[in-house]
Amino acid sequence: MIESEIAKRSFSAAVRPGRFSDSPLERLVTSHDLAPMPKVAGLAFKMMPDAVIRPKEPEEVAEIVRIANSWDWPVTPRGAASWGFGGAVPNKGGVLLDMASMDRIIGLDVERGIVRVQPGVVWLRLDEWLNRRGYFVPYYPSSAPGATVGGWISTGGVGVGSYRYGAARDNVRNLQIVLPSGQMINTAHLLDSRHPSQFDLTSLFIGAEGSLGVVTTIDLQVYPKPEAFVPTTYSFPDMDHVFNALVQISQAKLKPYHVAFVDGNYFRFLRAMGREAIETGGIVNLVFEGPKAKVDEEIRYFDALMTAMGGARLSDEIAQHEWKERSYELRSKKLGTGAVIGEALVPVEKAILVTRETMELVRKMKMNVSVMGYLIDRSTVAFLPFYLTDERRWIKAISSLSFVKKFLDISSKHGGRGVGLGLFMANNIYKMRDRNTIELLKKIKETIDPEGRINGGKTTMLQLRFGIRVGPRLFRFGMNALAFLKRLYPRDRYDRPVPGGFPGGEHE
Amino acid sequence: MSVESALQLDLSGMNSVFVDAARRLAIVGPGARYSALISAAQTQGMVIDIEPLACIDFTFGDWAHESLRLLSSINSGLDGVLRNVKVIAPDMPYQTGYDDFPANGGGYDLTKMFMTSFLTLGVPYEFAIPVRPSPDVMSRKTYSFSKLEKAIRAGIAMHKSGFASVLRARSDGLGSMLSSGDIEKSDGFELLVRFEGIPAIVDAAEKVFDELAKKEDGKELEKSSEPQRLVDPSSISPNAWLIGVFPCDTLSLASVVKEISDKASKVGRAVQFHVSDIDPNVSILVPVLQGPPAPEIVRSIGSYLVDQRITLWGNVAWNSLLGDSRSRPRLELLRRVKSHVDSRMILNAHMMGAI
Repeated sequence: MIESEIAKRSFSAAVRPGRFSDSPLERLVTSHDLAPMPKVAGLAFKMMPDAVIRPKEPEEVAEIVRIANSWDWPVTPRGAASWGFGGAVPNKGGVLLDMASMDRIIGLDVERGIVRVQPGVVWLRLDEWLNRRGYFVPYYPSSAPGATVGGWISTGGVGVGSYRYGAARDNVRNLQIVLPSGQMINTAHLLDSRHPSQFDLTSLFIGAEGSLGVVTTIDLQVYPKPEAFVPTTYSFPDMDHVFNALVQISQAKLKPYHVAFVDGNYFRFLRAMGREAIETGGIVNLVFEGPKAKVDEEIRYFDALMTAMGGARLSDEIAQHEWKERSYELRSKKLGTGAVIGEALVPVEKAILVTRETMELVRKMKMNVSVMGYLIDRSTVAFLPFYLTDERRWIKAISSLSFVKKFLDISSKHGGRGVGLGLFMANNIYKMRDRNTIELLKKIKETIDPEGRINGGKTTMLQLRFGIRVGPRLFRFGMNALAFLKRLYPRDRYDRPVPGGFPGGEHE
Repeated sequence: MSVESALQLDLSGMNSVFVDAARRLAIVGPGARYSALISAAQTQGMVIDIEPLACIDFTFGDWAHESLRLLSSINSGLDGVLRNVKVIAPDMPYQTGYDDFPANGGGYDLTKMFMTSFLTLGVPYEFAIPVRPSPDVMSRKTYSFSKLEKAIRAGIAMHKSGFASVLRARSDGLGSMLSSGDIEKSDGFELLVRFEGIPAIVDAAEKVFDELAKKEDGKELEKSSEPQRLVDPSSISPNAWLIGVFPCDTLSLASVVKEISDKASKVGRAVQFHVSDIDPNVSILVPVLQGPPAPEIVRSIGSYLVDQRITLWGNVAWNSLLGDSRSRPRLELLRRVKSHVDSRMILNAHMMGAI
């Protein structure tokens, strides 16, 4: 106990006044992420940190990591925690590094189009800042109003605009990292990861979910603000039509800036909440940007394609509304008290099968699910199904978590894979990569972080609060048992009435 | 480092090329040439998004070894053009990414680290490269400029215009130097632009690019719908020697070119240049020296480039010049990774000097 207090004093001295806290409230606030976890999860994981630290400068981060080493405390870096796999939540207590406090936009090299930011900068703020200077950032997560730059790139970063501009790793030019040893490195040279030089490390750290080090500065490629920016929306009778249209888009001679889809359930959820929403079997949003002459031709080209695929173009007003709503898909969580998202990458051609089987799973598990997502390249759909849940009913909430695992199983069966491992899905790595490669990844983690200090027990392994490792078989057994348990429960119900009725949910 | 005996692996026989249009993926062996992949993709109505450096028809093994001689021609960089490499390392086989997906959020991505490791982290035996449907129109235009500065300014403006295209520049005399070893003295540079898409968009892009070239006094030299002609490495004159491959700050490119030319001319040698993949941030400079290799010029140019903090690619002789451009923690980290996949340090160990 005394030792712990001395450690806390050391941490407190390393940062500016007011940036260290061990108050129960602060620790509670940072003990979960987007996924609403019932309290009972605390039996398996020590999700409550012992201290919350909000650094401002990279040197402070390095000092905190060095102190953590000397006191043998785990360190968990955290951005906005807008993901749901526990990657930004402690599993063994220790120090929580709230990187959202490092939120400075350091500067823009106008001639080269490179912006340097701290990791806690929020995407939407960055875009607005750039807009005022004639630039824009064309790739960002759908959670841009809240998600941080550091958080998104640590999760691999596919999202809005990836179809044309690639993922985060395609646009990150350099990272400054504090290694678990407390030393600092730059991953690239000349701010250029397009032409990586000797032993380029940038993409090793992108997508590492904060398990190899703490990102403290990021250089991003940004682009001149386009002359024209036009969202369009097409409505389809059902999801089969939607996915057939996506296949055609992926094979088209031209490339829109962004291609997203939303199923009809989402709009039913909105209506159930009392909001105005369109009647549709599913929509496809196509967004175009660039010189006006090019955008006009692209719209003409895709309009003909979408019409041929059975789509009906909705008004510009609806298209603008859908574009503005792109970051607020979880509004419908008001129907429950929370929502949990799964995320998987699926071959475009198989998306239709994955949706059908997911809906069958939804029926069996008696849940309320909506499916949405976007194309991230010509071969791949990012699927983001989410389900409504109520963590106040903890057995139901815990058993519902198995939906994500079951959905990822369906994706794997059709050649897809999950996005994100974090804490809860760490064992999915066995479905993603071969044994030898997993061994190498574990060795890389051990090489960089021999004590497993930074976000240890995640990403390449699943570790509980007492250092107990859970292998893939036990994980699979546990999740199957939870899915079985969920099926025994009555159908999930909304907390609010559903005008006009909806077969997916009932008023309780 | 010197070794008593060594085994050289000739990967040129591993030259299979398989294009799967349905998966929009090509699987190629390390001995396959760029031109072989282009042809195989074309037969299925597909194209790829990489360009060989200086239009030289390298193999994919070359791509992984010593330097990235194939370059991205699209916004998304290396990740958009190479998904996965299957590797045999002395201690374990492994894969750097995924064949069918970009490597996002599924464990650490090793692709870039491997591709820049001089094959010290294993021997590649298969590359997975995305392909896409051929556009309706592919055309090329060449503009002539009196100075490199003007060509670069026009290239940057074209890059920023929002019409995606491939942009590269070369000295007027580079072609003749590569083929015959002779050049005519000229300060001029050509800017080579590739357009693609549907006809209406290509027409619009050409009009915009013509205007941008005119602003810098550029003249249209040639327009063609023929694909870029590739240079067979074996046909390059023995009197033309590629000094190296240098990612340079684009805005400083003209001064770097001048300095390299001056250093060569002091000893009576001429240099011609190829600039690949022009963008506002970094472009790739390939100087080609007239005459046989000359270590004293190479060292002098190398020292200058190191002073400019320009990374030296693909030339082991310069490793000692890298100096403090590599920090100690970074070097330690890389050495430890190497020791995991090759604990006895048997694979390309002499290249470890690079780190």
